[in-house]
Amino acid sequence: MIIRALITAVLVGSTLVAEAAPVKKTFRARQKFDVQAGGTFVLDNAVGNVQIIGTDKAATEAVVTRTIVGEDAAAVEEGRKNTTYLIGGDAKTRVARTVITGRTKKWDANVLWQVNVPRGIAVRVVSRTGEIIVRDILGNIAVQNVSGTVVLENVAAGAIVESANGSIIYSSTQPRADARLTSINGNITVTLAPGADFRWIAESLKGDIRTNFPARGAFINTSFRASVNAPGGPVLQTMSITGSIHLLTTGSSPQQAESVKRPLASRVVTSPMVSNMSAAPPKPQFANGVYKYATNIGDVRIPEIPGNADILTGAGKVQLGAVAGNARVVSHGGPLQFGEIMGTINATTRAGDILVDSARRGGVLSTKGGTIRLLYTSGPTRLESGGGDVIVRQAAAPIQAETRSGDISITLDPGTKTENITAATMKGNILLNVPARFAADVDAVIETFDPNTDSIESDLPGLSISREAIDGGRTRIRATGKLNGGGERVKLQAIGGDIRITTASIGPTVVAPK
Amino acid sequence: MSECSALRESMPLLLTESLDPVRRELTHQHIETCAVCGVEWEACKETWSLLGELPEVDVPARVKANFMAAAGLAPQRVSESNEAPANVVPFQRRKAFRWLAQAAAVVVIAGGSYFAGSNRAPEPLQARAETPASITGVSMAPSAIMPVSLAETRVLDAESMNPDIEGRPNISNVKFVDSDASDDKIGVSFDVTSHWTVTGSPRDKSLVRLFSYMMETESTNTQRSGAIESVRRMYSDPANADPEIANSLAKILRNDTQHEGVRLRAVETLTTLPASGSTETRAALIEALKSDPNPSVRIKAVEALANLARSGDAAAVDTLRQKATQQDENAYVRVKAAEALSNIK
Amino acid sequence: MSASKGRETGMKHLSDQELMRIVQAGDYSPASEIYDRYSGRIYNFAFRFLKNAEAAEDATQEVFVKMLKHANQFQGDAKLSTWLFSITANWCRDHLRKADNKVKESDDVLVQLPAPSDHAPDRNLERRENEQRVRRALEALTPEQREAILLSRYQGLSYAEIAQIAGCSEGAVKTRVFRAMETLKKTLMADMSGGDRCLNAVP
Repeated sequence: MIIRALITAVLVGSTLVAEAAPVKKTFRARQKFDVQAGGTFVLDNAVGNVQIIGTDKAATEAVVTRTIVGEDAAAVEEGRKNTTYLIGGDAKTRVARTVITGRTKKWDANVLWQVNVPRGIAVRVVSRTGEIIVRDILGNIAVQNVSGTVVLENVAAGAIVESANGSIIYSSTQPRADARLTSINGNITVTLAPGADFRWIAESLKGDIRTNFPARGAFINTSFRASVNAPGGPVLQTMSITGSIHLLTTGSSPQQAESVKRPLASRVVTSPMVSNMSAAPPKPQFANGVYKYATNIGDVRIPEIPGNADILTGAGKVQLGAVAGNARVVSHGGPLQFGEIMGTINATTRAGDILVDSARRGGVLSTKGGTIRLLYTSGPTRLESGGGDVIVRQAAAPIQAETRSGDISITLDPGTKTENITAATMKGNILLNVPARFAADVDAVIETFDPNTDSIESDLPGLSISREAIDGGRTRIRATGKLNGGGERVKLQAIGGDIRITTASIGPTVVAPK
Repeated sequence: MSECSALRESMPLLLTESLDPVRRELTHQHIETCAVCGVEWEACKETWSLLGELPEVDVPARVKANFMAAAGLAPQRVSESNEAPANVVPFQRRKAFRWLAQAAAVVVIAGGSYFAGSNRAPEPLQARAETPASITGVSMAPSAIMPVSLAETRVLDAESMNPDIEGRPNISNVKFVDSDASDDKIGVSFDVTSHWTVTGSPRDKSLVRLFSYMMETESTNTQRSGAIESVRRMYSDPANADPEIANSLAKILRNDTQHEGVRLRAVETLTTLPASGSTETRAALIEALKSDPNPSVRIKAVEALANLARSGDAAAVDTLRQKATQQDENAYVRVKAAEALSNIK
Repeated sequence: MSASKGRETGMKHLSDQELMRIVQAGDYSPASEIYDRYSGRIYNFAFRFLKNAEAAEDATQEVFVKMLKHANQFQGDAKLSTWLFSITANWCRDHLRKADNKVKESDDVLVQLPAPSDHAPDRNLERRENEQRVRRALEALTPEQREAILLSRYQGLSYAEIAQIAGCSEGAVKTRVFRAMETLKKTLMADMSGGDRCLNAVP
């Protein structure tokens, strides 16, 4: 805020007069200003490259090159007028910023900043696109951009780089303070003197992590933590999701480095989050009649499995078409989608929806959070959601459904005479849709703050209702009795919702998402 | 040394300036003369000030809504209740509110303003004022304000009405009808003292408002998922795009902690709507991604935000960055956030 | 409508004690006003104590429901904040005691970061870094210490009030805060000398 108030606009004067026809024009300006020792230079350049180089001189000089591309001379002139820069702040914190106003499709601007600064100051750069180079700086450095490579060369103090898609190249001899380099989708390459002492934390969910340093460490969850050379020293943190990370000794090449993930590859099955997280699609291993697929990060999509399936993913969407045998699927995160499972199914995900077309022999479907939709089952099935609706469209077998929060809707196969059904929701409604001749011993309970709105209703006669006040100002409403003379046990429990036993389908058909 | 340790124990009190003046003075004197305690004091101050770096977080709006609902005090009802007796126990008192609210709704309908502007209604709504009402909970209302019977079914054209849903009537038994798939008309039927069916073009504002109301209103929980589902089918067609629908879904996503299933459907539907780039929607998606406890909601929010981020929306980009690097987040959400970012130019 | 509006705005001028007297008489119309006054502090306390946004939401909601239900236990001359924090602290302790809640902790730690301002990007980075550091440091405390330091540092309560909330002596509070500070100092200062200092060196 203060900085903003102090900003004084420096309008770029240009004597060039737009001439006819050129679609591209370059305007160069030179600007001198001062940054005191120990001060900070802040540059915000949304479009274009940045070079900041430390020198032994006390003065700071910037060369700002604006390149405007326009459809005609008038457009270029319009672009020039609308592309300016500001230099403000004070000698302690000097702020420079590219300002583009009134952007139209007629022109496009690119601004290159080449700045020489006293070596000892701190530097911060913010950009959207464009390459950022910071060299020979002794102070702290902070860089944030979306895309475009970030190069920090011959730096030693603290550094923070946050990029979404740009690669990061960092080189130093012995870092004196912590560096945190994050590029979500870019590669990170760090080069240091072979004898440098530091602690290294590296994480890349999908990319490789390689080094030729003597790093002693281990994976803790997804992060590799190691000491390099002598114990202690500053922390070098390198983090990416899809990019690769290289930590190299000065003068070596990535080929000389070894993956820290690879030695752990044998653990792939038991500790999926840790080791070889290649982006390549998983290759099936066939053993003892079981098709095994394991991947750490990555989607699994298999149209048909002619036997039993055993699928494991650290994070990814799992889609199986037809499975002739049993299917066992464990996902640490990601939705699961299945076609026809002829054997039993046992599917668990820590996050995401589960959709099953048909579970011939039933099984278990479980998600920590997400909707479960099962279109058809003819074997005993248990469905559990940590939060989300549970929907069974056609059940010809016992059902046990549970959700922490969400509605449960179970429709029984029209031929069902009696069936054992259990459904419980901690927050939500239960809808049980049965054939008109469905026989059962029903025990249905709701607990509610609002006995006027929430109720138990049944299209079939035979239930008697009791009410009692319970703790916390709630009312428990219980309906028990025999439908059509009694049969298997139906136990329904809903907290803060309705229970309805109907004989006709209510509402629209639930359509499975794509 | 024991003096030192005793004094150090008082340092936090010195920081909060709650030490009595004499002890404060003594402690300061000691700190000035004892080098070890001086260092300790500096560290103490620095720690104390560093603790201040923890930001205050905002309470999500839904917490208040939940509290008011759990206490039986729906906010709008509270404000209507200024004559409520002061000595009634809480959860019974709600009955009175609800009864009042329902009665109010009935009155509104009787007065015709719920469908105000209806010039082609088959017959005046007051026509059957003598018929006893049969809806549970409303049956206690004086018969004079019970204008119509549940047994009746009325079909209204959305074009001919202008639902002014202020009394928050308790709509129940909601069904969605599309009797003739070949025309572009859809319909919705429901009970409010009488059984109504409203039909019209999905673009008709009356129908849009009716859908919004049914998705948002708490008293029709059983039908809400169905309402959202229908909205998804009808309004994902760009020709029917309506910002009000998207805003309703955003509201559900932000405020409905009670039903994760409903929230899941809301976020799922939002992603399919063409008009979901509004400020409200964006804010709801960002909040959902940041703090929804349900991982599946977060997965869907990531997918929806990916589209916004592509167009360079700074808040969306920032939220995605945070998610991608948040180590205690589910890896799938992180990878999805990274994928979304990779599409930004 | 205007009468009720008038009444609602009228609430704003009433003291906590006056509002509670209305509630004690069975009229819950001050609920919203009391919520608005204290929900932020309650939520933040619970969030930092439990390190879990979802649980903090539950805590906040239930604390206010309890406030209404047990309004009669509120002593007319007491400080409402102290009473509310007692309820909150109790809730949180119970919550932590339940084994399955403990398991969830690390899973659900959520932080809402302030919206970034483009003027000071690395001030944001710095703040974020510090925040994480503080959060981690607070996690290293025992629940009793954490409770004491949260109430003292962030809620500005006196040791006497904290003692009342924690159900212990003032002396015990003093020891808890002191021990908490010792641990925090150790973790936070060690972090700094570990090299993160660079973050603070940037003005």
